[in-house]
Amino acid sequence: MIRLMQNPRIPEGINASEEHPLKEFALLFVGVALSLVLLVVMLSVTAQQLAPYIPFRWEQQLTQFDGLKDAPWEDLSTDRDEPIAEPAGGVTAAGSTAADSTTADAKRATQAAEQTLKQQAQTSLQALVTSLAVSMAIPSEMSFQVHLLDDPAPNAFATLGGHIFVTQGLLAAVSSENALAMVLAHEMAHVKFRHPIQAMSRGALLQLIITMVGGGQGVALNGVLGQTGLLTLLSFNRDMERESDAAAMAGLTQHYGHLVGAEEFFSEVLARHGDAGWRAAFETHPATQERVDAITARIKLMQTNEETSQQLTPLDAGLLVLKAKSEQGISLKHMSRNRRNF
Amino acid sequence: MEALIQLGIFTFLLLAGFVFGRRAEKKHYRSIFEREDRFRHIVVTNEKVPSPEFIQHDFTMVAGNVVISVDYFKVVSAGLRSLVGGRISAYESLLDRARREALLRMQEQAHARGAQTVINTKFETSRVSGNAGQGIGSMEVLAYGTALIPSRA
Repeated sequence: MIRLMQNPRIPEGINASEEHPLKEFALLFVGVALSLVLLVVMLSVTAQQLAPYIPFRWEQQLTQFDGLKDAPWEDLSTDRDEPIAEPAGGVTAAGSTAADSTTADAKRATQAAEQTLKQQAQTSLQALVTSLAVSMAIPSEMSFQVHLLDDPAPNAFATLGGHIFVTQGLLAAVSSENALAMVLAHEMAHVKFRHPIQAMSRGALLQLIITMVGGGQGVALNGVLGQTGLLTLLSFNRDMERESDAAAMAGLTQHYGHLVGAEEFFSEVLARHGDAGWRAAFETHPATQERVDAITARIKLMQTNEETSQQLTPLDAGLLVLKAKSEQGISLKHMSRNRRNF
Repeated sequence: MEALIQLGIFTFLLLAGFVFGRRAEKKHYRSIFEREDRFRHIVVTNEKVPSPEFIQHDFTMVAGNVVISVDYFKVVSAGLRSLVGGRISAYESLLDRARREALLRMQEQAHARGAQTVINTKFETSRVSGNAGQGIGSMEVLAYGTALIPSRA
């Protein structure tokens, strides 16, 4: 056997490829992304087609909670500041105890009053929704629950089971029942067309795909897939919004005989902080301007057709009080929040 | 917005992984080539029995050990690859570097002992931080063999 006197020089590029790593990455990335997009599109179309066949009853059961008179979010929204623990009677001097208890009593009284106001407002909202439901030809098996949120930012959204959420900020931002009814009718139309369950089905399917693809394989991949998915798929899309706007306008026409005042809230939003600008690409809603235009176009069209009394309906008394109260506490800065659901 | 921030963080990590990982790899390969030339006279083989001419030599075990970390870009690249199958070239170059580096360190040790030949060379590979869940992993390569040293007697 001949002994090697030197280590041989082994040619490069056998054990490790000399191809640029970016080339492989780009190829993989594009391929995987394309097939995933295809899969997601297919599945979300299927979900959208099939979700309306899920009985509304199931949706309601999903959002009902045993042992609670109302859903847990009621608690979240209403309790802001619990009264501080009362001073123990015997320890402090009699005078100060009396003073403390009167302030505590006063605090409790105002809280109770506020609570009653909210209850009244919620009842009024519920009544408005119920009467709108008739005009909007809502199927009889559907029912709505309106919840008033403490949030000063004007917003409204609808979720599974016919739950509609309205913030106090929204009440403060409208001046007539017509404007409020437009927003409510829009959210009711979402429920009518089963948009929440469609969005949820799509979201659930997407989550499933992510879990399957990711399957314990890198958080990174999971994260990015999830995020791009969330960007486009978890909320209602623009077509859904347009459909709901159209249905809301039809419902309002049926209910009031005209559409005057319906665009007030959208105009207000537009006036306060304009359109989304570059964010428009990521927004799920049509541009606010577009929505205002659509409503005003409808109003014009109807004005030429028929002459009816186009009176604005004032807000219900139960709402007016709370509106006046919440207007005090609302400053402009709350209007500039990014997230909008209505 | 949150999604955009997440995406931004991901892209940044990916880019940082690529830039620094690539630079480290190039630098490492340059050093490997240079040292391989320097230690070419220390012959490394895997024969188990020394040739008769070494019968009078002293012998000792020499070992070279290296731990190399994966970068973020390689992790993502390999993650994508694992969806479709095929050779993960991102990890191949990593392993190649680790094995050669381990050999070089072993040769260095043999050189320090005055040896000219290492026989019965073997490799061990294991994953470090394997239990760190889904964190970025690193790998260890150990090369060991028997160095044959000309006896001074």
